[in-house]
Amino acid sequence: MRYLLLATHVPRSGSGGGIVRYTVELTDALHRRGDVELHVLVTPGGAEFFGTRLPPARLHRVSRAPTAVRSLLEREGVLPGGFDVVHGAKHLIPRRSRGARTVLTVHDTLLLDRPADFGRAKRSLLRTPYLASMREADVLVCVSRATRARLLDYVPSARPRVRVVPLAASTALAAARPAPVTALAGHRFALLIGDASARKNLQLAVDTWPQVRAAVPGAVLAVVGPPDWGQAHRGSRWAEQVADGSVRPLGHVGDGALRWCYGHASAVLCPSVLEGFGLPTVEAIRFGAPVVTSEDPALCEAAAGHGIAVPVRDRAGWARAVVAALSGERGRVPAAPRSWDDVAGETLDAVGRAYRAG
Amino acid sequence: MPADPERIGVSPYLVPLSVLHVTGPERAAAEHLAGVHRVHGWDVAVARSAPRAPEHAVVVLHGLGIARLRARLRGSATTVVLAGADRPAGPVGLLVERVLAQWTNAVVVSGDAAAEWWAHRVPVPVTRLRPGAPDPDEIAAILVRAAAWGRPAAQRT
Repeated sequence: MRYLLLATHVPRSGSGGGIVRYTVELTDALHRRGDVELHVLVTPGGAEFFGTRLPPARLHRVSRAPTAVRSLLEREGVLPGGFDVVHGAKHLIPRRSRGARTVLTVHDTLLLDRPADFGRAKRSLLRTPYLASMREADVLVCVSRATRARLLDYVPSARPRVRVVPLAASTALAAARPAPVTALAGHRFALLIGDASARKNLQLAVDTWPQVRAAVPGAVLAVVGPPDWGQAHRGSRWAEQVADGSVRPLGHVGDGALRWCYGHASAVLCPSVLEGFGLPTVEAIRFGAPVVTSEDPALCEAAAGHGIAVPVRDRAGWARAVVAALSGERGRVPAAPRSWDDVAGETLDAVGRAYRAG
Repeated sequence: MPADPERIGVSPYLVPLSVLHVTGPERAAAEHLAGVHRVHGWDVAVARSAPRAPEHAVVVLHGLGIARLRARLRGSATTVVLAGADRPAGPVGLLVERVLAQWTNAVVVSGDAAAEWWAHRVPVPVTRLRPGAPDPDEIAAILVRAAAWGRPAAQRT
C-alpha cells in the first residue's frame, strides 16, 4: 500500500507538541510494517529530520512558506500522485486526492470549542477547511471516544466514517534510561505536565498546593512544560511558592528526565479543562504513577478507571484527591502496555474497512 | 452515574451549580429542567430577563429570540443557548448570530441537520442533543462542562 502522510508541521528538530509527536511516532510505526510503502510530505526543514528515518525517494518536499500559506497549498494544491492513501495528520486533507483514499486524524476540536484560545488569523482561516476536511475524509481517526463525540456534534454525517484509535505512550520515553532530576530527588512530589495556558488549568494545582502541603508536609509540585506562548495562568501564589521551593518549574525536560519523573512521582496531576486525548495520563499509568484528573471526558477515558477524577470547580475536593494520591502507593505497571504498532495497525484496519466498503 | 461518559467523566451533580434560565412566555421546559436540577442541589432560577452581570455561574437562554440578550451579557457569565432545531432567519439574522458567537459558550441544538447548519455557518461551539425529549442529565452535563471551560472572554490565553 503506497501511503502518503502529510507531515509539513514537523519541524527540523522533530520535536514539538502532541500532534508532532503523533506524526513522528506514526511515521516510525508505519515504516516498520511490511505492507506499507510510507512516504511523507515535508518542509525542507522536516526533510532533514525524516531523512534519517526514510529513504530520500520517500520524502516529498513542499516549498518553505508561512504556515497559513503552506496549509492553503496543502488543502488546495496538487499532491504527488499514485498513492492508495493520503493521510492528514493535522487538521487538513487535500481537496483533490487523485484517486487516493483520504484519512484525517482528529486530535481534538479545540479550535471549534474554544476559538478564543487561538489567534484571530488561525481561528478565522482554519475553521472552514477543518470542518470541510472532516466532511470529505473517507476515514476519520479520532484519538478518543470523547473527541469522536465532539466531532459528531459538529459533523453528524461523519458517523459511519469515524474510528476511534487511542494513542500510546511515547516509544522514546519507554526506551529512555531514567535520568534523575536533582531538584526532586529525595522529595515526595506530584508531577504536572503542561503549559500555563488557561485551558491547561495549572492554576488549580498551584492555588490548592498550600492545602496539599498542610496535609503532606514537604511535598513538592514539579511542573514540566514548554515556554509560554500566550498569557500565562499560573495561579495567584505561583511566585511565592516557587521562591519557597514548594513549586518547582522544570521547563522542558528530556526523555530520560521525564521517564525518571514518571517513575518516581507520587502522583501525576492532569487538571486541564479540555483535552482531545490526555497523553500524560496514559504515560503516568504506563509507568505506574497514580493519576488525578479533571472531569474532562477525554482525560477520564485515558485514565480508564486507574485515576481519581474531580470536577475542576471543586477545589477542596481536588486538594483532597491529591493528598490521597500522594499518601497512597504507586500503581502497578501494565504487563502489556499499548504500543504505537497497535496504533498503526488499528489505523490501517480503519483504512481497510473503508476500502472494503467501496 | 447519570451522565454520558463521552460528555463528562464524573456525575455533573457532584458540585452544585448556580444557573439562571431566561425564557420567553413559554416557561414549562425551563421549569422542568430547573425542578430536576434543584433536586440535585443546584441553585436554579427561571426569569424573563437577565441582568447585565448575573450572579449565576451559567445563564441559559431558551430560544434564539431570548438569545439576543447575549449582546447585553457580553460573556459576563458562561452563556449557553438552547436553540433546538431553530436557525436565525435571513442574512441579517445570520449576521447577528455571527457577532453574538463571541459571547457564546455553546449553542445546543436538536437534530443532525441543525448541527451541520450551525457548524457550517456560525463560528460558535455547537453541542447536539441526543434524539428524543431533552434529558435533564444530559443538559446538566453540558452546562457543567460549559462552566468548566469558563467565560468566553476568560478563555483567551
